[in-house]
Amino acid sequence: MHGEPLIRSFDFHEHVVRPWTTDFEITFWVVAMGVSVAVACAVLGCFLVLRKKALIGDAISHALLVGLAGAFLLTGSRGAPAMITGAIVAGLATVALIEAIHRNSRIKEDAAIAVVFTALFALGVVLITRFTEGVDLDAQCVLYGEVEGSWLRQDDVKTMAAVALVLVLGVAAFFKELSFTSFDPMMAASVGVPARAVHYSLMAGVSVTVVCGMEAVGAILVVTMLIAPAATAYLLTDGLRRMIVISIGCGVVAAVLGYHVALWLDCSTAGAMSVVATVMFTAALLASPRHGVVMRVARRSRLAAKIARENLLRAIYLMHPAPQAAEAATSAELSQRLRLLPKDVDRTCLRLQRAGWLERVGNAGVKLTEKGTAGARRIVRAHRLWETFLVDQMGVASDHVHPDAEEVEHLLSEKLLERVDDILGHPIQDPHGSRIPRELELLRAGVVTTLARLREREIARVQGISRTTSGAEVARIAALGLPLGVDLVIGPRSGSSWTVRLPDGTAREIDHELADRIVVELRRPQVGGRTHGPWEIA
Amino acid sequence: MDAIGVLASRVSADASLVDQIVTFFSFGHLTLVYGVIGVVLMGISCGVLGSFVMLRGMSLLGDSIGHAVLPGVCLAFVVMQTKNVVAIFVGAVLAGVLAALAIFGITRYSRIKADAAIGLILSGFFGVGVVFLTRIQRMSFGDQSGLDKYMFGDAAALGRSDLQLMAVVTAAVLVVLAAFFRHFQVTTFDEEFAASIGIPARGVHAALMTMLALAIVVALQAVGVVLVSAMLITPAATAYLLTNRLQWTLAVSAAVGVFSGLAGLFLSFVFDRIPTGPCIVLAASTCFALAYLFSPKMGLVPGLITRIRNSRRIQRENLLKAAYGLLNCGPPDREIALADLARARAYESSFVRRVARSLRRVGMATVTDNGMVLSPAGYRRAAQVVRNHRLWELFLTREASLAEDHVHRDAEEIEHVLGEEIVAQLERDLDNPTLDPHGRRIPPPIPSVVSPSEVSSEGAVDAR
Repeated sequence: MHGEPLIRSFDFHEHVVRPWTTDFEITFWVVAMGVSVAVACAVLGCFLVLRKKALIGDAISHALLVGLAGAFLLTGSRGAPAMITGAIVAGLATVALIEAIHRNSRIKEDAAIAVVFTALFALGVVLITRFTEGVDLDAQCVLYGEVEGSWLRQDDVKTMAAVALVLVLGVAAFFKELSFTSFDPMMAASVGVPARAVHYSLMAGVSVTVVCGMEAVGAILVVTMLIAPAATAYLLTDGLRRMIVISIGCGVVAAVLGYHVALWLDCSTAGAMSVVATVMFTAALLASPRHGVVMRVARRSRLAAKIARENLLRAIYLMHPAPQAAEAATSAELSQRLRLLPKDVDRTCLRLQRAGWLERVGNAGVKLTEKGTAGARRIVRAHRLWETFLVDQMGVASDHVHPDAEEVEHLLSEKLLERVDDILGHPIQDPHGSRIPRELELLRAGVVTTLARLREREIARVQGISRTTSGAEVARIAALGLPLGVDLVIGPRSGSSWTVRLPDGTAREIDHELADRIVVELRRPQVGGRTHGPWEIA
Repeated sequence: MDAIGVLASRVSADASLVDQIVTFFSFGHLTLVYGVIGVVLMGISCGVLGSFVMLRGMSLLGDSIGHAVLPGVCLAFVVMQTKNVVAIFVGAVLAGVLAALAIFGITRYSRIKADAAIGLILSGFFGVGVVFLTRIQRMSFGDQSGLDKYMFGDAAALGRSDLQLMAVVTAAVLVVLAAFFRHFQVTTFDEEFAASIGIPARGVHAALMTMLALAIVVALQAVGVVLVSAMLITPAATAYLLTNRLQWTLAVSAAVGVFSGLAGLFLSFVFDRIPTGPCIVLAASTCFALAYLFSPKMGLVPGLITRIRNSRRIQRENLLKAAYGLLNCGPPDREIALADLARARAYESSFVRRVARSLRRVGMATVTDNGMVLSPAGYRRAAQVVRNHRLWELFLTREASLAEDHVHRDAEEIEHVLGEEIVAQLERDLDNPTLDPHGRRIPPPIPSVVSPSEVSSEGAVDAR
């Protein structure tokens, strides 16, 4: 070792400025090659990634070798037309062989890919080493690539640039077909888009790109250029057009940055391009605002914290249900009940205290504030309603319900919960026989609500009917003969109908449909199952 | 191209083909003996592990790990500054395991699918490796020519320490698989069942990945980065086309691996300028191609033959049916003109003649210049097919409530494949009918007077 460090010191002038001034010509052709490969790959890569065919790209890039060797042996020329033809034939043959094997046998697609591309690559290597002595078809170069030599091969660069341009224009022209067949093959078939033709054109595009870019970036590293920019874009956006644009951007950045990194580290330019593209992907994987790992972890831990808070609130509420209760729950009791470490309980308690849900009582205990009580009731309500829903509507056995309900109750929105409540016919009890609480705000005297939400022994006055009532319903409600502005006493539920007792001693049965329509003012609510008055009006 | 192992030139520059073959089988050269031991060990470890990898649908993971070891190899070289076999091995295995973990992580925690993740890690790690490798080459320290051999492999360059490592890895793989065979089997085929009987699926998976990384790193020396996945998957896929039991798949896969290793070694030794690694892979690919085409149960050719046989039989039976119609309940041994048969089914007369000859070959008719006479077996089969047809039409109109004019085409297909048991069942369900929905007579069963096997084997429902 000559004492040179593995990572050389970075010299801005030497590694960034000089290439674009003194060595402009070399830089121009090398970067032009890199950028052309990157653009062509980035465009195709989007469709490969979306169609879950990324590995077919890999397979084609290897199998091309046999096409190159074959074309050379047949024509004796290394010119672009022979090589491109050989590449297209080999690429499409690879795709067709893989398809034939996994269609006609029990071998799955991934295994078929592995079998086919290795066989073709091995054949290519054997052909090249055995029959093409002294010819510049170098398997090493095929693997690693040499962008550095691009300024010596300016025609190759022009070909590659033309390929990139044609691909971009082609994708623009057939954008509809490509996106249809990528996202909804059934739909594509039904409107008459030839899915197979599109597929094979795409694969031919991959073949041409790989063969033209092979000398520059090599068969393996071209796979990075195919997948990494597209996958990066896929993590950053949801729209196909935007994905293609971002993908091209990533590819170009990788090509240019890679060139400078290679100058700095004095290593293979293709390798450096690949590393830069991979680093960009890693950054997107971690930090993408919508799909990044960091955001996911943050979301998950926020949810976990929310669940911990809600479970704690519920536990306190169930230990001392009434808001007026003076007893405090100690953290020892809570940690035992929730099977959590006392320090976790304390931490969650502290958070809830700061948010005003709990208040400290003496040294050891906490109790719910008014806000906390309302919140806890809502959680218990969500839990019990969801349990009821699972048993009644989904046919889950009632002794199997608990763990499932536990998970979903934290995710149900208010709106969804109302819908569940309505579908179940505003139930009073859950499958275990526990009362389903209603929101506290609903239970103050003077609140206006619908008859369906009322329970036995509550007193209410009819105010009118809701705006969504249909004509037929209006007629049926009128037929009930409920007096306006008079105190009515709600009787017990019988099946799915409500009973209402009128001041004159007669009773009316009202079904769910009508009970949802009748708007009442609550005069005397009942909270926590305690009786606030007799069944008859005193 | 000197990185590709070209065995023969190393042993003798200009020997004749026969000399080379003799030299090969005398195993006189130490490099050759090492090569043979090496490919046998590789064939076994890769073949066995490859079967599990393929059955679990992770075929391309091996490819990915194979490429991904490159940075590990280079880093180990940079750290040790020599080609220390153990250090390089450790570096490579660590890089391989890291790659497997990265693929798992990406597919688990992002919306990127497995194929893209595998391709990314494969080429991304390889890119890092290429950067390292070219950097090392340009720094020009030490003798780094050995690093290149990981690209294409060289069974002829295997040294004593390489073989020892290979033997240890292969033995370890076999011992672990034998000791925990049921664990691997159950988690491969039914993960939920495995969980229900308390097998830690993740642990088994991790063990498999580790062994895979070990085996790949060892095999790299012989076949190289690009082709190592062939040693894993091609023998396994071959075995999968030949057997149904896991134990047999493992055994056959290992056998194919060993065979192709030896065959590749032999070919590259005997013929000048053929690299070993690709040769081994081509031998394995040939085994696969043969299995794909000729596997008795699953091969393309046996399947095609069965299909042709069936279509021939259907042609014969259609002609029998036509003959039965022309006989029109007359004496069964009356001669029927081939021209009439051609008219009845709108066939070409040459076609009728060919099918008639085919009937004669299976003993169902005798053919004269312009006509044919049904044999008793032929007449019985003809009656049977007509009976199947009319019973099925009746069944469709009565039980499936199809219109009378919609049932003929379906009956035309199924008459050839209805077995005797199903016909008996149909008859019971339809209360032994005598007339079909078009009012034609359903011929009663004719008791067999010749050999019963003839009819049943002809009329058997083909499993395909």
